[in-house]
This record gives sequence, structure tokens and C-alpha cells, in this order.
Amino acid sequence: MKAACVLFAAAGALLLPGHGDAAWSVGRSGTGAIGSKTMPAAAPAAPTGSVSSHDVTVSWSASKFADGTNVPSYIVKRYDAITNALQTTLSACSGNVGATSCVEHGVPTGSWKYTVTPAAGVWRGTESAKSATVIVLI
Amino acid sequence: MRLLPAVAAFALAALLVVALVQSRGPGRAGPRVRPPLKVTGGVRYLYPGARRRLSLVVWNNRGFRIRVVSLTVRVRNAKRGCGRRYLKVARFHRSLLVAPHGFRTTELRVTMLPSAPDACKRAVFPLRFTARGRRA
Repeated sequence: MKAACVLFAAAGALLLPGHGDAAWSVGRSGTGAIGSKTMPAAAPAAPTGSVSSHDVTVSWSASKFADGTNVPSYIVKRYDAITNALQTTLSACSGNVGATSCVEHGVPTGSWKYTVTPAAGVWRGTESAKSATVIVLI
Repeated sequence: MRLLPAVAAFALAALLVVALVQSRGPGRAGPRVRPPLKVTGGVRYLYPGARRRLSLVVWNNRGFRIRVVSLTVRVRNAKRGCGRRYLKVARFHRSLLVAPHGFRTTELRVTMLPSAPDACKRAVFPLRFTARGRRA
């Protein structure tokens, strides 16, 4: 019986609250997930353009992700209205534009059409329809 | 009286089994022992260049206060062509005190890199949390 009592005492000591609880290095504590969006399927409405000398102000409506938030930026493209050839977009409208309007400075004389494409980083949405023709005079 | 040693031996064996299970320590416990800390959380609607807050809930499964001293997030690849390298999750720098059988929330900043390719559209990056704590 003595031996049994000693074993009981040892087991009881192991069962004391707090045993091994002073500091832990817990392994797996749980799981979760990070999800991403995709670009809007619908193309934005065609932009509008207004001319002031050789500066063209291009405006368009915001494109939204499926959760209702605005797409962060847009790519503005200018096409020759007659040949449909893509032109190099000039400053203030080049690259990723983080607004829903921009002013292209120093646009050459000619007739042009604009489009906008929603962009998020390297993701691209659907290009809009072309704007009405914008005529830049000499 | 002959029955007494047998009952004592049985009780002792049961006690030792329980003690053995508990002595394995938290986090490596047997099937019925919950880990002392549980972490859940997630975030949605990321896109290249976007910065969001990863909301986390830290649960204390014990009857005493626990101070969370470290919390790490391991991001796994979402799918082919969309690896975890396109996500940056900030480190947990705080000390979080969680009440007995209670929970606390915390946030970590997560960013999807602007270079995340089209393969990362509608992607889900699984997360695995590891928390370390001590009795407060």
C-alpha cells in the first residue's frame, strides 16, 4: 500500500493545475485564408474628351469591382480616328492614371478617339468603347 | 478486503493515464485536449497594390489569463502561378493579454504586390497561424 500511496502522490503532482503552463511554444494554433478579387467583367463606358488648344481633357466614370469598391487606376489610350492606329499617350494621361480624368498635354493636330482600361497592378480589365472623335486644330 | 488493492491499482492506472496525457503539454495534447490558444482570421478582396487589414481573433481555451508573446502567419501558395511571394503580411509586434476563456482581436497589415499576375485573380491563399503564449 505504501508503494501505491507514493505512486498516487506522483500522479497527483503531475495533475496539479498549471503543470507545463508557464510558457508554451504552441504548434499549429489555427487556420485562415486571404482571398483576392478579379477585374470587373464589364467594360467601362466610353470616355469623353474636350479640347483646349492642344490639351485634351479625358473623363470617364469609375469602374467597380464586384464588391463595389472602385478600381484603383486606368490605362488611357488614344487612337487615330481615321486609321484606328494606336498612338503614344502623352504626359498626365500616360501610364496608370489613378483618377477618372486626366489632361493630355501637347496633343498633335488631328482627330482622335480615346479609350480607358481598368487596371490594378498588372491586372487589366476590359477596354471601353472608343470615345466620340476629338478634333485638335492647328 | 481483497478487493481493495485491485480497486486501488485500477484507480492508480487511470490516474497515471490522465497524468500522462496532460504531461505531453499544450499544443501536442491528445485528441480531447484543446490547445490553449486558437487563432482564426482572414481577409477578402485583395488585388495588386491593395493593402488590407488581416483581422485575427485569438481565443484562450484555458481558465487563466494568457499573454500572447508571438503570433506568426504562414502563407501558403494559392495556386499554380500565384505563389505566396505576392503577399506580404506584417509581423505581430504586440503583447496581447487574453482573458480566461475569452478572446481578443488584433490586426496585421497585408499587401498584395503590384506584380501579382493574372493567376492571382480569385485566388485563395491558405493561412496557418502559430501562437506562443505564457500564463499571465
